[in-house]
Amino acid sequence: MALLELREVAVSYGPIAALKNVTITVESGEIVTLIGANGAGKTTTLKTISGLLRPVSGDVVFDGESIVGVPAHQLVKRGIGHAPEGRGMFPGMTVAENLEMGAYLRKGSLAPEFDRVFTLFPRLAERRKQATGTLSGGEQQMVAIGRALMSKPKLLLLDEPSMGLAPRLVAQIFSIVAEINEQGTTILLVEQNAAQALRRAARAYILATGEVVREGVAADLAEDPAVRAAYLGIETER
Amino acid sequence: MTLGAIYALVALGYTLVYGVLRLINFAHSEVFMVGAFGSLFALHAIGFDAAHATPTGFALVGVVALVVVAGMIAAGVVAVLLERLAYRPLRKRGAPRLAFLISAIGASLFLQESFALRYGRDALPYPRTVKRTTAFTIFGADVQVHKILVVVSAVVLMIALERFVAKTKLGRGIRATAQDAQTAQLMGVDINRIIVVTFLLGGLVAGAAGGLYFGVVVESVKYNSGFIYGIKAFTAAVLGGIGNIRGALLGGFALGLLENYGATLLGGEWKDVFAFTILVLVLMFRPTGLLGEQLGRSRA
Amino acid sequence: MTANTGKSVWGVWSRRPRLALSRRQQTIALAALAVIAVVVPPFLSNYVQSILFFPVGIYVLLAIGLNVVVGAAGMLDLGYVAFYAVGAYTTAILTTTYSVDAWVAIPAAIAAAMIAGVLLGAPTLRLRGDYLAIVTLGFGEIVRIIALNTNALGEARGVTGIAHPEPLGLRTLPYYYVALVAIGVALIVSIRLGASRVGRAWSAIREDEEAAEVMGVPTFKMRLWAFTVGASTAGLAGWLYASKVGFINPDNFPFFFSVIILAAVVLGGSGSLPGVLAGGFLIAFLPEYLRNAAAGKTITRVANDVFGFHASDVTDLRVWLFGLALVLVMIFRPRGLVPARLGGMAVTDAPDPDQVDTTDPGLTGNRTMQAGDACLAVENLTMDFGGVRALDDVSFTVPVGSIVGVIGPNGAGKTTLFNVITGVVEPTDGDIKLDGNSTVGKKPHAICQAGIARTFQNIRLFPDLSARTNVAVGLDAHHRTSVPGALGIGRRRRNEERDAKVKAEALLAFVGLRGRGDERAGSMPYGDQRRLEIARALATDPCLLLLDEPGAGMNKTEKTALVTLVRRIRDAGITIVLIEHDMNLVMGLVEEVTVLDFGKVIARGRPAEIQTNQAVVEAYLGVDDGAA
Repeated sequence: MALLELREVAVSYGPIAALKNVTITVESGEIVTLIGANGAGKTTTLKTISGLLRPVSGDVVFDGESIVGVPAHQLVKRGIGHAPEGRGMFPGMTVAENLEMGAYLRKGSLAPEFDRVFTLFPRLAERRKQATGTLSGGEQQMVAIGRALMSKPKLLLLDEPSMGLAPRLVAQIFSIVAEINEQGTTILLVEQNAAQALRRAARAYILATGEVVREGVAADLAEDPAVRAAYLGIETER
Repeated sequence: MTLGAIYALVALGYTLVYGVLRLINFAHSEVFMVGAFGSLFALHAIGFDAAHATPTGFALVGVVALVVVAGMIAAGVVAVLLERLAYRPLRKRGAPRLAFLISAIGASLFLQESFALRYGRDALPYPRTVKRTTAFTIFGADVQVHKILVVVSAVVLMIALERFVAKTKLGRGIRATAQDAQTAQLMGVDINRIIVVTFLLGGLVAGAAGGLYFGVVVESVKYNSGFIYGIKAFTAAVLGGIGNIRGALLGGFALGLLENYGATLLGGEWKDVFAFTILVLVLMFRPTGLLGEQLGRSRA
Repeated sequence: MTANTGKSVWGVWSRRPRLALSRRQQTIALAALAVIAVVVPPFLSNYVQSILFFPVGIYVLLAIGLNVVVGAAGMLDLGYVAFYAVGAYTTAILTTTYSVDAWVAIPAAIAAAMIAGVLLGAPTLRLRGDYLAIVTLGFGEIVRIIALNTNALGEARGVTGIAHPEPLGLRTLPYYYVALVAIGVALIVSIRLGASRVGRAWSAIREDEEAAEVMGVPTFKMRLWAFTVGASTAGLAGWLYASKVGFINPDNFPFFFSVIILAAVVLGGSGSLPGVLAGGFLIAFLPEYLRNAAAGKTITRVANDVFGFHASDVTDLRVWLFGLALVLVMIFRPRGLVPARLGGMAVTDAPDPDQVDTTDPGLTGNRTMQAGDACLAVENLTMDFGGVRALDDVSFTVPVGSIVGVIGPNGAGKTTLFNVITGVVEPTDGDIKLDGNSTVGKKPHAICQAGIARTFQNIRLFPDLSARTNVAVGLDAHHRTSVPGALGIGRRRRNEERDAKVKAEALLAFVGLRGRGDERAGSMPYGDQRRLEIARALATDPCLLLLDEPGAGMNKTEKTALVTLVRRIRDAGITIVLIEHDMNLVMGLVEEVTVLDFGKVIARGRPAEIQTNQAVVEAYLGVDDGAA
């Protein structure tokens, strides 16, 4: 059974249809990537999954249950972790406090989770007492991912982890994403950086103006001219 | 100093709500007033009246504690009701800011008049709870016991509140919501609950301030007692940087001192004009206040 | 990608169908009311006559004045009573200390209130809405405290022996008629201002201040006018009260008086004159009426029994009930009892069909520029926000008559570029030249008048105004009518109104919205809103048009129409810069593309070159450097 299924989901902002009939499946243990140009509906998709937006029609099924209408703060408990677009730092809080926020609903010792995050991101251990507002973009992204892991999610939603980062850092973040997946967390990765995302993911969906225009094995799509068309608008035959 | 401490306590309520909702809780001055009435009723309820001897020793501690706790309970309840009845329906609909302000003004008048109509428009006296004794003299000024008591209680409350927001889980939830409400939800924070807690906290400290100030210092209260102090406390919050807890404390004490100084300079009747002028000047030249706007930023 | 769900200050959030009167119905109702108001009072008892003067007449007059500030311009004024006090005290001091005739004191009272309006307004009107409210409240208190503590103003005793205007004397009825005349004048002022450039500017500011400024509305000046006009009415009311009653003291001007007038405006329907008249009347008359009526006695008894109040009659409950009413109105009927028609006071009617043709949108395009000149030159532009460099040494030129595209990944600085060009933010470094003249440091409305117009990424129409009024606001960028002109009989207002009507119609037709002028902008379908925004921008008669993602959220058909429209705009002689994510749209339309990434220009060239440019491909698709 799939861990996450979006069935013909439509979402709109007022009069604007942002998603139309989006159907996406994520199997347990996979990395699935969702790529597409600005404004294609990638972030909207993630926000719908994590309960920040409510679909107009269609269904979202997580772990066998429909989660449409469940408020965002309750979905965390069910196992959805979300590192939002723009990193969503609490800038006045320290690294450690941001990470604690990730485990907001958990009781008991957080030591194993802290260990895990600090092992993945040794840099954060050095900076644990520093306010996140003063960190570099790459470090903030590490906090965002680490923070989402603190709730021990079954499914991790990553929204453009490469945004605004230098290429070297992008590669580093992606290799850590792969590592997190190897440790057993299912990942749905939204990216603009198609090349990197397609290399790491098992399967991929290409979104354009709110619709899925291609889906398939990531390695195949990497060669597909549709990818380039989605970004740079070179007409291709369907 | 006394007045500064009171301003600071009431300013905390403005600041907490502003930090989380970006709204000026105009009716907060009435929360303060209700706290004072709560204290008075509690004293009446235990039969403590003007005929009573002014207490000493444990009795004194008990009476002061009663004044504070009763004020907190009354004000806390009113603050939460205010959120539920006057704000939440607007919030659900995503109403514009000015609608909240008008609703709050309505609620504010409603509360004031409710007390005026029920308990009259004249000031109600409190029995004396703390003797007027001079504790010590500093720079030729007498410092009286009851004022020390008020300032010390206020500071204890401020520290307690500051620690609560800085260290507890709910406090972290409040700060997270203030800094990025959407991401806070993604962390599992129930925003509606945080908002209620925020109003409650603001109400609790304002209620304690109401009991301490009107019950112990002024020794009388009436239906519109909150209004002018509310505006001053708001000024204090803006002065320190609204939305910022330490800013509220700093702003409260700073305004208390400035006002005192201004009163000496211009005469007591101009005190309020002085405070309003400060408010206008701060808003014009440094609208983010002395310490900046964000809740929890002062730690950075 | 947020929708324009309408962030109008007074709220389009109530989507219920509402009772709104047509202009004709309004006129008939007003005429009927006027007749009743003139004919009936002499037959009423002295008591009722005195109520009709105060509070009814005074409240209605003040409500009309406050409506200009709150309803028309959307600024919450909690210290309105201060201007009333200034008018009253001016009258009091002039007629007692200086023995000035009471009639002569009228202009003085009005002028003093207006000066107070400017004194308060000039330093504070830039404040955000809720801060402004608190500051006005403070101002109201300051005025009262000054009156209370100034010897010359009688301190707490107030001023007595204020002269009555002769031959009105001591009877009430003559004052009632003076009040009626004052109300009539205030209404005419409100209506005339409403249906002019001034009223449209106020509505635009109320709906979206930043968009108004960018569309050429001098927002600061117009807000100050709203404040001053509102204050003048209060000054007149102050004169009326002081000269009738003969004595005043600070207790006549408490804070809750401001709130009662506010309640009248909000309850009746902020921005709606019939609503405000009704609100002022009800709030003043109802408690007085109920005082002796059986219903009033019941209300009082119930309130006393249930809440343990000690009210002797309904008037004691007045403020309590108003407080409650404010909360309930905000929750259940935020637009008031008689809600404003679309766009409040600012209505632009459709032109007569037989009036001149509406096919000429009046675009002058290039003006004096020659093909080949640089219409826009951006030179070494740098923009820092805190520690973030949003634009880094950006330079490019836009030749006259061309269509240039700006593309780049999220956060590349595209919209910031538009904000800097239109003067919304001032650049850290560098220069921007329109036809060779630097625009840096100019106010957005001045830049708009110089010839740069724009649309917004998240549509920012004035949602609660009609489509036609939206366009008319743009046309007003080149109109000159101000408050005196709108009130005077001169020809300018009439000519400009006619121009606005005709050209608005032509512009709506130009973008394909012929005959849709009466629709509420915020309720139009999405694609139409995009086109209406373009019409509004064209109305400012630009030589350079900046389009920020005009195709976002459009379907294929709409995009095709958009491409055609953009070409027609260019053919009218207007130079265009276009930010767009839809590459098909960009590539088919533009002659040259500038690519931004991390705030820097990484490539420039023809569309076909850009599509194969390695740097651009990497910026969009990322680099697969093979790192494990």
